[in-house]
Amino acid sequence: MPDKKHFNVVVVGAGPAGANAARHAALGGLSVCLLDRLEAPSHPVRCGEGVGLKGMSLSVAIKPEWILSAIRRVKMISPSGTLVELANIGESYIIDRSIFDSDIVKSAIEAGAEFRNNTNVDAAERLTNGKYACHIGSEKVTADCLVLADGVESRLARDLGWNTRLSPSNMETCAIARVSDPSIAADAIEFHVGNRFAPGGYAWVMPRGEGIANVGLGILGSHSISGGADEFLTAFINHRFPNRTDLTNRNCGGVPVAPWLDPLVRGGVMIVGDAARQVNALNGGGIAYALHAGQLAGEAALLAFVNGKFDETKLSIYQKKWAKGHGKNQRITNDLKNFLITRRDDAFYDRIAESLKKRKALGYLSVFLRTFAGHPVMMWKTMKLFG
Amino acid sequence: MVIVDKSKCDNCGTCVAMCSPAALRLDKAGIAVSEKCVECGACVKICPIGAIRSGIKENHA
Ligand SMILES: Cc1cc2nc3c(=O)[nH]c(=O)nc-3n(C[C@H](O)[C@H](O)[C@H](O)COP(=O)(O)OP(=O)(O)OC[C@H]3O[C@@H](n4cnc5c(N)ncnc54)[C@H](O)[C@@H]3O)c2cc1C
Ligand code: SF4
Ligand code: SF4
Repeated sequence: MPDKKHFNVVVVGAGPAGANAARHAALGGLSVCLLDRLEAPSHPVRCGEGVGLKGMSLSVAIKPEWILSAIRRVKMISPSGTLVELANIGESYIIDRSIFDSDIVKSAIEAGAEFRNNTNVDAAERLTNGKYACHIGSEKVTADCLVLADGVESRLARDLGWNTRLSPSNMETCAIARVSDPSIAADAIEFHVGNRFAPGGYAWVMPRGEGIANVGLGILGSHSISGGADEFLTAFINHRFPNRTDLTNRNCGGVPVAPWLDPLVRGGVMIVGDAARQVNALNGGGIAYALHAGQLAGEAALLAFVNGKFDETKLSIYQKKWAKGHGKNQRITNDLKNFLITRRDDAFYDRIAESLKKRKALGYLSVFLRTFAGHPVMMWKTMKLFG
Repeated sequence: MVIVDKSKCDNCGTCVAMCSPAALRLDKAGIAVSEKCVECGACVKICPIGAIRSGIKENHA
């Protein structure tokens, strides 16, 4: 049987955003093709693997088999080493992304989507008949509706009229590794803040279990030099884990830290996930937003097919729902990030940590209110985000 | 044109997002640089593991 060439919906990129978009479109009975250049998504895993229950539960129930550890404490460590411990943090987990990502893809396939792996889309274009073509070598796949979920590169969107080029101050350049060390507690995330460890970002430790963690950091692109993230990571690991017993899985990545891309819809194309900068700019978390945006896009595609006829104007519901939901908070995270980067230095973080170190049962809200004290607009935004 | 050291490159795609003229692309064979490169240096600066270097010297040697 020759491969099918035309689909109602083609989704490029099978990360959480694309796979969930494919799943929801297929659940409603559309013909859906999900493409990824990799053998399986998230190979290698470029992620701390941390998620909050609140954000995730809008789109999926967290399965026990995804969970590597349950987080009870967050340790914030100031540049000079003062520890502030947060206990009031909401339910959060470290999940195994290779299992999680392949489960979301599986659920898309079960819903009826066709998954083509090892398939790189070289270019995308709108045809004269109004349909879209994805070029894969000398082959092409066409669709009425196209979903771009191609991650941080977000290159295909440029073929279709978006300017997705990011400025250095809107990109965290990251390095990551897996470290084994007896001092790692399975129930505690660590954030090491300040320019000392990661200029314009922070270093983090996300435990995959007792004695083993994802360790990484992000440097703001405008503060970076060639190879900077990797060198800072080596320095951080030597500082925090002098007695480590193992260091594996070193790789790197980028996290867009910018307001979400507007518009999210052009003609019959929707853009979702990292490609659309749907990332929490304060903590770099993008899994929950990606899943949710994918779901909204998949549902919008469904609405746009009425009796088998595609009406692209109906896709605008995707942007409306995103803007009213997670989209509002995403913009706030970006405002807070910008303020922190331009107005706060290592000495400031040390002072805040000193003033908070004895407090019990702290939560993010109290810490950020203290951080933005004297700046009513930022405090108000903090209340909206964490209140 | 910038030069990508394929033995170092981790195929993370970060540099692609930085390039104004869309001179960089990632596919299964890794990063490719096209003639559109204007040597602005954005990708060199951003690469987390230092896999890209300026090609000005090499190209004009
Ligand atoms: C170092 C690091 C740590 C992170 N830690 C966390 C964390 O702890 N918690 C959290 O919530 N988030 C974290 N994130 C962010 C999170 O990983 C992303 O937000 C999330 O993966 C976005 O999902 P996505 O589906 O949009 O894109 P991706 O997961 O990046 O998927 C995009 C897919 O598109 C494919 N693709 C791209 N171009 C093409 C093409 N032309 N043809 C075919 N396929 C293509 C790629 O192969 C890829 O599989 C982290 C990111 C980094 C870099
Ligand atoms: S940023 Fe560096 S490691 Fe990542 S794809 Fe580009 S050249 Fe490769
Ligand atoms: S130097 Fe500038 S123009 Fe050339 S590939 Fe890098 S980002 Fe693109």
